[in-house]
Amino acid sequence: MSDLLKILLTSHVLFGLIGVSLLFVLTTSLLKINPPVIAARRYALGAALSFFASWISGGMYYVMHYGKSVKPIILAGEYPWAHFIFMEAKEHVFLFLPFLSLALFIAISYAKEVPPSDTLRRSLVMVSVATFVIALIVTLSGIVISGGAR
Amino acid sequence: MYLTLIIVHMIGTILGTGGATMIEILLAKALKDGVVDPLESDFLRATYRVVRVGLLLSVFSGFGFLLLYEFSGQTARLYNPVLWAKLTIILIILANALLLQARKINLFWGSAFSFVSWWTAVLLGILLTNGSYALSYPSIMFYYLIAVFLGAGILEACRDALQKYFEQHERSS
Repeated sequence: MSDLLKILLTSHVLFGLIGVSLLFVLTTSLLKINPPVIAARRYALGAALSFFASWISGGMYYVMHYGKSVKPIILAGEYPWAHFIFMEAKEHVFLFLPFLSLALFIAISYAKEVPPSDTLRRSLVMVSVATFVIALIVTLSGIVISGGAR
Repeated sequence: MYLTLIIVHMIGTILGTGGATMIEILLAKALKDGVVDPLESDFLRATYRVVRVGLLLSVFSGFGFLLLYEFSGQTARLYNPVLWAKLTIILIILANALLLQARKINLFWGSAFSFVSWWTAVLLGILLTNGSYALSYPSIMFYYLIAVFLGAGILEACRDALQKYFEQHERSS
């Protein structure tokens, strides 16, 4: 694997982890009795930007290396489901993450102007938890896919 | 790079496990009069922050190890049941933190899950370092759940004992 590919894969993982971490901090912030709205807005924007960066680096890695070199190895190996199930799901489900994070950022920006009602706060928490859970599933899928290539 | 990852992972584990242990001691001390005063609350908040920093360092360095396995062609290690048990326990630590923040889990179970999970993650980390593949995922999780149940009872007993100790200590001083 060339240095460029290593950098792309590392960036994909690193930005993804930063996004997941920011979603965790965002969820815990929203669960507080008095949520720090301005900080929560920054966490949501940070998560969205991280997921976009992870998407770009992961996409480049897929086009330049995974599709040509890794995918055939997985399909010919003992764990073809690592691609058929996990990669196929991951590459589509992942797309929710940057846009859900962006939606959270916009919604929290609105909450900054108007004191958030309980209903809005509960909805924000639910979206934040759902995005965090999807992000965790996508992260674990990445490990399953990498492990399937032998 | 490997040495850097080891050092960061160790620092994260020390902060996380040490912090989770300190939280138990601070809680026992804070709850001796049944009320958590602002100073005690401040100490607890600072310790929770230390645990989260530890968790962050452990997770990032842990994924660094996984990338090194990928780059060095050791992808078989990514299907190690001990690794997956450790990942599951980290997910439990995260879920427990969210449930505690949302006040959806009581202190009895919340502190048991936090304390036992951190120490189990340390134990599994040692097993991973030694390359032990003898344990299956279900057996590790079974022993972990037993440890959580036992841990909940033991922690409650320790809290009672510490409270008695603090009360006696205060009376004598």
